[in-house]
Amino acid sequence: MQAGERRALLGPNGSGKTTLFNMIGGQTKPTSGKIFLFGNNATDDPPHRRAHSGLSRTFQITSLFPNLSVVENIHLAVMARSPIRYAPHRAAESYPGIMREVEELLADWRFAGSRERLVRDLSYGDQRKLEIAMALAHRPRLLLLDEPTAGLSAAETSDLIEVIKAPGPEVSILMIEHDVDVALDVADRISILDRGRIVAEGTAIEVRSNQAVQAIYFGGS
Amino acid sequence: MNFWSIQLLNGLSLAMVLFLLSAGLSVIFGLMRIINLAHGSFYLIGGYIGLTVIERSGSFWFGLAIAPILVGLLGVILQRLLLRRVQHDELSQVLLSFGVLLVCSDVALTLWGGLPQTLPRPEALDGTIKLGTIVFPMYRMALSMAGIAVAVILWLLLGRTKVGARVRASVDDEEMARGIGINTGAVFAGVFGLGAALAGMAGVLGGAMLGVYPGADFDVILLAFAVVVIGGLGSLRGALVGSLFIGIANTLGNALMPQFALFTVFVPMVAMLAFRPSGFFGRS
Amino acid sequence: MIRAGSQTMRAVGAAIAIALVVIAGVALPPYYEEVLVDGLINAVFAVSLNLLLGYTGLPSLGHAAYFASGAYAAGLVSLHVTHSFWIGALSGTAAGAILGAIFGVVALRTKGAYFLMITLALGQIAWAVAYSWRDVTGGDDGLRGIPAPDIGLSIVHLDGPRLYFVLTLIALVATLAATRLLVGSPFGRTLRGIKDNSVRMGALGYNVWLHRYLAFVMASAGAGFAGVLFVYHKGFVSPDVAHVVTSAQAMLMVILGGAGTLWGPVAGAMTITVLGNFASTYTLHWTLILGLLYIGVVLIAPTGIISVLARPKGSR
Repeated sequence: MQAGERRALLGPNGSGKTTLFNMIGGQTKPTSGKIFLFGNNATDDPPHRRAHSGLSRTFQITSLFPNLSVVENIHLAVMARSPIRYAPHRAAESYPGIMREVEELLADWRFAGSRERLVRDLSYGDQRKLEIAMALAHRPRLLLLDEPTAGLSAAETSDLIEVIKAPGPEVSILMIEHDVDVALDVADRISILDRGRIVAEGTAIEVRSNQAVQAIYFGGS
Repeated sequence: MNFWSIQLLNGLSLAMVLFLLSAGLSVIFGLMRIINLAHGSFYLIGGYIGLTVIERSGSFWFGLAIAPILVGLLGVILQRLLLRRVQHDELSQVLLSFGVLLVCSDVALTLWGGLPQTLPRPEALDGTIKLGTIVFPMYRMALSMAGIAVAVILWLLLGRTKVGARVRASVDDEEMARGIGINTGAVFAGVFGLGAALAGMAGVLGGAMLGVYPGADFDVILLAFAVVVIGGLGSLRGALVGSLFIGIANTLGNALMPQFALFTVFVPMVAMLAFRPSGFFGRS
Repeated sequence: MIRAGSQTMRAVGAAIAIALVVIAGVALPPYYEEVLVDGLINAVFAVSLNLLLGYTGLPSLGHAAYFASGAYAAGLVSLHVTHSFWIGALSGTAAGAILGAIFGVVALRTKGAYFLMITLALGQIAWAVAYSWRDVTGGDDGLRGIPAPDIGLSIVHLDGPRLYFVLTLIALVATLAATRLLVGSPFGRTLRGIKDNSVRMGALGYNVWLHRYLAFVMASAGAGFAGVLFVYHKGFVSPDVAHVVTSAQAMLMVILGGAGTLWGPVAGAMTITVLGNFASTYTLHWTLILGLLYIGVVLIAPTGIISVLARPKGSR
């Protein structure tokens, strides 16, 4: 991917999209080949090191801290890349810089009203939004979104699309989507994955007219 | 040469007892992902019931037949009543089954007393047999052969029968198995009962060799866990390999360096868990 | 994150609990004081396990290994080097931490059920060492005749049970204060996050292994400290303190009282200790009762008595 690009990753079920994300994120080890992040060989890096180099991601099944409150979730996201996360001797609330950032995020993402609610009591749409908020908390260079609009209503989907389109070109976005319309709305370029291989890549028009792609989706035109 | 042959046979017979004990434990974990510390209680109670039956009836074989049945029943009750409720929570399973272990231990102590006892061997096997220049106890030889026979029967049962196929399906994918009409509840209870019965059998057979005593439940459960970890959770073949390994290693350890004998069990267990948690043949 | 009202409530409750224990210690005859001290020591042990089990989500079934190493280390120091309580305590705590640092590397290669089993096996290895290494540990006879420790104040000698009671009470309060500070600190928050969703923590940028390892070592140090208190109290130590039975009992104390709460392990430890002593006087069947307790806690109150008592109206 190019810096600043918005890329959508499409493909039928089981084609390996989430597996690819897990390999980029470091949750799974590839059996062969290498992963390069921001110009560096990250193949053997654990997930946290990749996060520190600028990677952020969401998961297909919303991955938050269900038994903690919204503010506690955001607090963990903010603390993640600060050295204070090892401090055992002071109250976590006693770091004004961190707390200010937490309050800002709560306000920006409009979670201030539900700050004390446990995440598992949030609506599904709010959970998805929170996950993206936390992923963007540190202005990552690359954001991986795994089916961000899955299970959302039409209204929630268009809200979320605005959220996804909001960050500037300093954030590159790679998005797995099943909803082709969403993908076309957000992405500049599209990659199609089938059975673990990229079978097509290009702009929306290029991909749509690709015969291999049509075969996959429509079983031959 | 004599020394090694005797140790090997001793190790083999211990391995067979361990196999009977841990085959059930391994399959139960592979099937239901249940950690059952009370499995050692099945051994203990099997041995004690066998003892009582043999003393009352005068027949070793009668004891060998009755004890596993009763213990198997106990196992089914335990599974349906208690363990089923903590299906997916390992910590709760540990605490719950540990509690059962303690309860059974106390009951056994009350009913059978605190003195170590040895089950009387059947007259037919209470002698020695001579192979070349070496003299072996007949009982141990018979035990080794019996163990192999049981292993073969279990393997055939699991791999070649319809019942076995249902078990294997439930192990592989419980939801799917239920979806195609397999009564997984009955399968689980049945496997658990069979595992318990085998452990009870181990109690009788082992009890005639090693004796039954308060604390045997603890000693054997630790050995059984080592076997299952090394051989691989969920694998019958693994239980056999693990039993051979632990049985022989422990026997040699006791013979050659008694002060380090305890380590022959736990160090391999730790090593296996650290480097290959699924054991030799387990499913990860 | 904590409402001011309930914070005061908790402080008052803690003060009352401490006051009750002090009154009990002062007013009751010496035998009961002995039991109370046992309970306080078990409480320190349980609090240390709670850091692993309740806050980090690591179920260790071999925590007694570090308790034992602390007890043996302090015992050996007391028998061969010095009677000073401070040096003995330092040695014991360090012994627990060092063993934890070594075993932790191995144990943290696993998760869940495998972690349970590997900690069990490691605990049994520690037990086997204590049992076999006769020259150092005394084998199954253990270490005997460990003298009362000297805390360095000439007017105060800890061979009086009353004074030892005060010492262990102070030790427990100090341990609780340290735990509270730790749990409310950024490090403590990361442990809580790891317990709730370790994959998400890694993806956010936390070195999950390192946090777990540090928690493991800290908890082992705490257990070692409890072992120090134990060996000075009893005057002897035997391999049984490293056995899985001891580890399981600590686990029961934590779960019974309430894992992941500050006072839960204390309540659980005191309950089991007092109950055990009481039951052993009247019946031979404490093992049976204890077994039923294990079963009962799991089926009836898996979140522990403290959280059942402290449950406010509404969520959480």
